[in-house]
Amino acid sequence: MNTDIAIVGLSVDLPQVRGLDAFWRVISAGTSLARPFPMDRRAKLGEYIQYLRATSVDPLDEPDVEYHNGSFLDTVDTFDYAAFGMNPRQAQLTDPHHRMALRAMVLAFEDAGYSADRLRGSRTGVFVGFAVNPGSTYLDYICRVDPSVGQQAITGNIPAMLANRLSHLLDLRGPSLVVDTACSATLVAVHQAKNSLLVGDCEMAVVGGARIVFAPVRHPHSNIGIESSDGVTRTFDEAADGTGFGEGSGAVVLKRLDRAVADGDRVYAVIKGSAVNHDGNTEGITNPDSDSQAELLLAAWRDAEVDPRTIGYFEAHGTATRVGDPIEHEGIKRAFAKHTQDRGFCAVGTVKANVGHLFEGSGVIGLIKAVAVLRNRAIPPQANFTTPNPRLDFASGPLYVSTSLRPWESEGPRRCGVSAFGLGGTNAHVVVEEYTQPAAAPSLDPEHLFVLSAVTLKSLTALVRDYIAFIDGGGLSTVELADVCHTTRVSRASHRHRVALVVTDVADLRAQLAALLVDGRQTPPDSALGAEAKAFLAGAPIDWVRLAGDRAARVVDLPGYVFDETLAWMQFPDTWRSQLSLTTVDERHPVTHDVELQPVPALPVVDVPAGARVLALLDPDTDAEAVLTGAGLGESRLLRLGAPVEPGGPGFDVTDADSLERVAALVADEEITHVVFALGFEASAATDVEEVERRYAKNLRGLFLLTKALMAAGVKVELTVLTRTAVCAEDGEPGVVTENAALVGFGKVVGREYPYIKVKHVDVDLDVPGEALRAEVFAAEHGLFVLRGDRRTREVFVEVPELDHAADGPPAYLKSGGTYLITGGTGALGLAVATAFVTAQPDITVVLLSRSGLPPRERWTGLVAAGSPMADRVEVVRELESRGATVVVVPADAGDPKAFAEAVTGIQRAHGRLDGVVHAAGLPGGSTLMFREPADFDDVVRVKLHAAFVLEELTKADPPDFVAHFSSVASVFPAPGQADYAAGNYYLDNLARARAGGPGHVVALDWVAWKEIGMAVDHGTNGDTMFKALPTAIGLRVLDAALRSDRPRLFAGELNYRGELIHLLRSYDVTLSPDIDAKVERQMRALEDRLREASAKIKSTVAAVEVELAGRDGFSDTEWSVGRCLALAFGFPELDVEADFFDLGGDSIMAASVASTIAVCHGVSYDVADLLADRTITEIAYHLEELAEFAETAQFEDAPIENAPVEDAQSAGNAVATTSALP
Amino acid sequence: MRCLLFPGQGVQRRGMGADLFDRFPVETALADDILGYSVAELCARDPERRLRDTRYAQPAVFVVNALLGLQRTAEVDYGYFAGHSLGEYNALVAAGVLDLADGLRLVRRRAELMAGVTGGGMSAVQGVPVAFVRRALTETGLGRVFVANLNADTQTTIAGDRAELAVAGKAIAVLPGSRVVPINVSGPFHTPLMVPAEAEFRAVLAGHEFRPAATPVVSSVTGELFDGPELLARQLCAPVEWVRTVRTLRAAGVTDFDEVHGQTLTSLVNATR
Repeated sequence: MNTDIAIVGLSVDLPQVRGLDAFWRVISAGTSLARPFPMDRRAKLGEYIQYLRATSVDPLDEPDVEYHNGSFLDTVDTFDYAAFGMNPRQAQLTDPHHRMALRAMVLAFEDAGYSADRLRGSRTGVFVGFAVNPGSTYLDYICRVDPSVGQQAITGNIPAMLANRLSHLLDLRGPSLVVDTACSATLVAVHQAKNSLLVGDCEMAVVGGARIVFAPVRHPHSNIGIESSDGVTRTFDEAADGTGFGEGSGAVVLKRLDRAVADGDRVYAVIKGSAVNHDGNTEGITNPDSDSQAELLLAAWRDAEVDPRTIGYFEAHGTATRVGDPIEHEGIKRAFAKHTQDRGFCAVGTVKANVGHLFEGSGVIGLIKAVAVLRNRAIPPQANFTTPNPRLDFASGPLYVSTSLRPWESEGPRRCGVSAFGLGGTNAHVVVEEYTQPAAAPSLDPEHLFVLSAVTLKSLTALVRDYIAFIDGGGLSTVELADVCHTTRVSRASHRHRVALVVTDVADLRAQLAALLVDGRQTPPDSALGAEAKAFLAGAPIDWVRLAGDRAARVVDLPGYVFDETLAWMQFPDTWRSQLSLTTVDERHPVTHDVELQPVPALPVVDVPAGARVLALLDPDTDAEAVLTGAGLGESRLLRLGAPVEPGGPGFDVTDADSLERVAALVADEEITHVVFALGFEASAATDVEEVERRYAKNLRGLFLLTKALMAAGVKVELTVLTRTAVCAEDGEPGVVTENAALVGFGKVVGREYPYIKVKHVDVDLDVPGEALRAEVFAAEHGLFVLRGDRRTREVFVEVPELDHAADGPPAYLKSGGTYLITGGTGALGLAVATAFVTAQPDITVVLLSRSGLPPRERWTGLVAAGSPMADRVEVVRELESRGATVVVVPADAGDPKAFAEAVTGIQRAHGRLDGVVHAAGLPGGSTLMFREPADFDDVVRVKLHAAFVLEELTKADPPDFVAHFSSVASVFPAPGQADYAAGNYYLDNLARARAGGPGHVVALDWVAWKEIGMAVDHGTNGDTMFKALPTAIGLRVLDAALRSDRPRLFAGELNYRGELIHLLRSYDVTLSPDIDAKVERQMRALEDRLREASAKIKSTVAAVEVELAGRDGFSDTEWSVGRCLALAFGFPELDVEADFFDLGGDSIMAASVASTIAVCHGVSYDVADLLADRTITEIAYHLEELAEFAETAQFEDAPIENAPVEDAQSAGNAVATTSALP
Repeated sequence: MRCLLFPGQGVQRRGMGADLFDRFPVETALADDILGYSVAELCARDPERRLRDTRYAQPAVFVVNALLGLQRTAEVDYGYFAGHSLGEYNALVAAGVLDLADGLRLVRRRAELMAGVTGGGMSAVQGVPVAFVRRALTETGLGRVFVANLNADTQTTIAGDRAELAVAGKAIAVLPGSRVVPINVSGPFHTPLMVPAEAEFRAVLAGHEFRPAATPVVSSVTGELFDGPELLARQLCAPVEWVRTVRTLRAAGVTDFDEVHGQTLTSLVNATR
């Protein structure tokens, strides 16, 4: 198989250089393009640089900014958005590298003779060499100018998009990828493209790259170490001190040579072979290596199957550094030495001396230079070369440096080598050979059809001018007019604005082009070609192949497309100084809080309100009936367990959902206003787990089933949950019936899901007077009220001053040789705690108990090697063991009391006393009560409640030094869907408080979401909400502080005062301490101000947008304002009111921000779903008017509705309907 | 077993069925004849924006549904048909209860009568069960807002007097997790406020022939098997019992639901336990 690859098209765009001929003029004259950074670009950058310096962590107070010299483009901030299917806004938010590379590749296709029509649907590959260079990306810049556009800018700044966008735009179906091997990237991309062509992944390929230097600031902090002192690159010269910056872009179009010849493509040169390798493990990752470079050349020559002695020109990487040049020279010498001892036969040079170093783009620029050398059959002088570097011994090797332009004589085909080396050690080399195009056959046709096209009229006019200039410069003197016309037809005919001329010779063509510029009219003659011309101008598809006839037409050099470029750059605002000083210093807030039961005044004694109807559910095995009777609840019904719900019906069974549905029906039918749930009224705590389970099923699950039934029936009631000494009124209170306290947590959630059931939890002892209980049942207050005799308390959320973290040394709570059990132990939180413990006290046994456990030890090595998800956990355990700890993994479900008890007993048998326990096992709540299945409810509660009970029972004889229960913010501030989770955690909080002062330290920690690990991360709820998510290090510090203290409970989480959800804190039936409440108040006002300012800013920005509407006559005010919103988003100066959001360049990512702008500007609720449904200015405006109208009616009707006669309401509706029908 | 579902008003979009009318020239001509205007022009281009108007939207949706239904039933054997509100007419046509022409005549008249009841509106309520919505409506004390569609477990529409509807919407929006979105229709469809239309439509129905169903149709009025034209009269004032319809179909052994046009009903089916 012939593996030759043809270069069939190219483009090159460098400072003062557009096209191969201009490039050759610079090369052949030995010109260096290095110069100072252009003044215009300095001016635009100055403010931004000052901003960066002022705001850096270590501010630089240097008034002057110094720039490197280099080969800089005059402008990098313009773009022809329409030619690339973008809108002005997208263009503005797209990395200029992307824009330049796109332009380069499209020009190369055109040069190759391929218009968009010819390319569409073809298996063409796109290979781009590109890297994101940290710290100075366009995305960094735009995010600093306007952080709100970050999301919108994503698609224009992801490197992969660089290749993908071109494939998308031109509908190219071959591979589309970005290669990043640093400075060798584009040459490696050539190698990849070659291989893709040879294996058949694609039939044609474009390889491109681009480089701009955003801010070439000269400062010691920002140097890589290869920069030339004056921006001039003096490769191989004695004075070489590094490489100068270069900017520009280049691209080549590749095809298999046999295909290219068959397809009639122009062939610039032929890639005979190539190779890519890596330095391997050299001294440092950035050190080049001559051995690897020699190997590279040998491999490339083998691949090319050429005799290296026939290579007459070598385009070296040549960065002109002290280290790099000698190593490269040495590598080349060594490689040639394997084949020949001849000396001085191969000229060496590098284009970096002319145009600077284009980094990732440099490889393809070197390749294009080699093409120019071959095409011109001349060896150019090496720029900036006067005295050879004495460390390079040219005389003894095959290379010489040319100092003048001279013809390149050769007996066989001329050959070049091109090298590029990446900073990280990836090297590439390509062998290129000249190609002699067969002479063109003369054309016998008397007339030819010449066409041009462009996306805009401006481009078309400029093109016509360029062609006239090209003709006047002799550009068509050596080619057949038939080939010129053929070239324009296959490569320049796809765009909307068109020229078609039937011409007889070059002079005729020039005359017709000049005439076009004068009157713009095209009058094709009445001939066959004239008919084609008319059809083409009318936009009809033309079969150009048929038109070409039998003659083998060729693609020839013609002027490239002239882009209609306009400014596409985010302007850096010069107002940053004033804005900067506005930022306020964040207040510091404590991480730790607590919930205290604080005394509140007794309620006034009340009679039973008129119309109140009470239903009390009670357990006849308790004293509830006596207490309720004593309270005197008026016309109340007492429903005892087992008694018929309705006369003659089945007995009341609180564990049966059907029974509770009957209760709910009773509530609805008998218009019950108050339900008292008094089933959990046991006098003393359960003493075995069976009793705990029985009470759980009767009391907590019963309350759950009742609530669910009441919700499903849609009733509205006041629900009092009455318990007896279930809540620990004071830390260490004896005799607390802890299991019934879980009902408190449950009750906190009900109203958050269904506001028509308002819950108060009243916990009493038998000393509470009857009238006090009656007052509670009928009071308007909700939340938890703990009554002991005449004392009444409720929950207050308070700050806890930062605990002392500074404690040194191994903590007293961890004993050398101790055994510590962690439930949920193989979860991320459990392992973090284990690691913290072992770090503080390595000589301990850690027992990790979890449902899943870990795989058996003999499989660990394999798991780690295979990168299994278990690998991280295994690694942590190994790390703990390497520090001297003993780690035992016990698989057991803490939510299964029997299995859990067996596991704990087993641990005790094996390791003796448990010295400490961290109960971190837990399952999150899953859904709102209406849709919660009882079995799932059970699972969530048992792993907290039952497990804690079992632990306590089994360690009663010898209590651990500490038991830390991991509870949750949900026990204080639960969200909808967390009723079971809140119940289980409230149980833990209450249990810990009840055990205060006991033989072991029991502490409950109410964690907010952990930021980096754990349940919240697994469920994606680890963002900041009312509270800031907790970093692991701080969480562990709080745990340490809690264990060092004697507190029974600590709430761990910092309030997110500046967040938008802080107002929710006040929506809970938990009193806020005065200092917290004051801060919430202050921040809510500040937030309001910020939102108001933000919306005012959006409104004024939108108001300032100038846009013209099109599509019909006359537009409504709403259409104008919607038009401004879309114009702001897309940047178009004119918008059609029927244009589709997606056709304008919208995507679902930007839709959210556009919808929010529209909502703000029109003062209605309008979201992304609305926008995606409406899609045109007309429809959006129509929808907004509907919404506004709707809001008006609602406001109008805020007046008391009873008084509004029905007819009036209807006619108001009619009036509105009529108004909306008007244009 | 498979069931084919037909959506109702609300799925209309400019451009719908654009490539359909050429494939069914006979049916399209018939429809044009009955309606007195070009249904293809209305659906595909709608230059005068008539699809917003119930009078035009209903026949348009019906015709597009019907043509798509012809395509589907030619390819697949369905065990059941069902349709949401207006879509129920398509289900009856597919099942052979009504012929296409009769169906379209009824729909045209139905659309005119429904469009004649003004001053009302509808809103979609998402995120909360219908029991919550009913309770919220009761709490507002408003007499002229009703539950109009029971679409899925937590998707309901309410309808009624336009002014009262706005107030009710605000009250419901307070429910945690709920979202209330006004729907762009002119009348208080599927509520007792449609009584004037119902009486007149009952007379219209009397003049049309209803044949026995070749394939069973589950009615969106009752959630039971369709059992006669009286249901179509009641449909105007009765809520759309879509949840019940889906449960009945599932209980009858339907495992796969196809939807003739769009995905509205499919998503409702998926959101129903």
